[in-house]
Amino acid sequence: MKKQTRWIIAAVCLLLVITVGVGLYIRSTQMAGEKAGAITLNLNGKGVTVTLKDLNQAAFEGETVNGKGDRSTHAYRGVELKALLTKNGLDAAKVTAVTASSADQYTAELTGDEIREDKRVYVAVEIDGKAVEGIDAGTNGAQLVVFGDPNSRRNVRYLSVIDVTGN
Amino acid sequence: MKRLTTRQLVLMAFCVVLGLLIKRIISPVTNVLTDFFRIPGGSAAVGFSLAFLLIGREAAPVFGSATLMGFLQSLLALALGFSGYQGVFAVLTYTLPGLIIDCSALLMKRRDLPYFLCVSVLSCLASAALSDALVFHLAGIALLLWLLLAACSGVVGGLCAQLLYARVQKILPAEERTRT
Repeated sequence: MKKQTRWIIAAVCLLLVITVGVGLYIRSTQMAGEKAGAITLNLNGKGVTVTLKDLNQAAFEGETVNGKGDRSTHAYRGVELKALLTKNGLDAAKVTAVTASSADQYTAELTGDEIREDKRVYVAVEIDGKAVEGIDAGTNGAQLVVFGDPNSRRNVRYLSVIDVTGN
Repeated sequence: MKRLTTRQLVLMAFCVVLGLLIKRIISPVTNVLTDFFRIPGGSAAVGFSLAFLLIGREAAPVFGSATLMGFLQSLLALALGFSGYQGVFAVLTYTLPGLIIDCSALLMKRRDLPYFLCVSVLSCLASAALSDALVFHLAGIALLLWLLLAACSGVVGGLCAQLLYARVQKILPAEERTRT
C-alpha cells in the first residue's frame, strides 16, 4: 500500500471517529435533557437546568399569528422569560441577546429590548389546558411564545436550550 | 475560449440530472442518521450530488462548466420542488460548490485520489456552511456535526468521483480528456 493511500485512510478514519464522537455527545446531551423534562438556561456560558414544574408558574393569554396569517387567542401556563432570568440570578436589564434552541436544533433570536418588554416573551408548558408536547411521543416539553410577531416563526416548539448573552 | 462538443454538453446535462436525482435517492438513508442526531438532513447527502459535478467538470474541462452545472441543478431543484427548506437560496448553495470545483480544477493539475477527495470535501463544506448561514442557523456543536457530516459525505463523493472519472475518460476522445 502506498504511503499516500495510508495517510488518506488514516485521515478518513479520524474524520469518522470525530463525527461519531460529536454525534453521540450531542445525542447523549439531548437525552439527558429529555429524561429530566427540563430546559437549560445558559447564562453567559453558565448552564442552569430548569424543570418543567418550575416553569409552570402563572396563567397568561395572548394572540398569535400562524404561517397563513390566521390570528388565534390561546390560554397558556408558564413563565415570562424576563421573570425566569431574574429568578435565576440574571438582571434582565443587562441582557443584550437571547437565542432559543429546540431539541431538533431550530433556533430563534431575541433582542434584549424584546425580553424586557412587558408581556412579550414567555416560556409555556401548557396551551389551552393541554401540556405542551415534547419531541418524543408521550413526553411533555416547553414552547417559547413571542407575542406581537407577524408570524409564529419564533414560537420555538420542543424548547431545549435558552442561551442568554448579557453585560 | 475552448468550445465544448455536443458529447461534452450531453455528459454535462447527464451529470446535472443524475447529481440531483442521486441526492433524492440517498436522502432518505442519510436522513435516518441526521434525524437521530436531530439536525437538518441534507449535508450528509450533498457529497453524492457533488460527485457528479466533479465528473462533469472533468468531462467538460472548461472554466465555468461546474458552476454552470451547479446553477442548472439549482434551477432544476427549484422547478421540481426539490430545494426543501432552502427555497430560492438553493441557487446560491448549489452554485457555490460548482465555483469551488472550477477554481480547484484550475489551480490543481493532477487528477488523482487526493484531488477528488480535497475538492469534494471542500465543496461539500462550503455548501453546508452557506446553507447554515442562509437557512438553518445551527450554532456550536450542532454546526460542528453538520459540517463533519458534510465532510464525510464529501469523502464518499470524492471516492465515487475518482472511480467514475477513469471510466468517463475512456469514453471521451483523446483531445477532450483532462490530464491525469
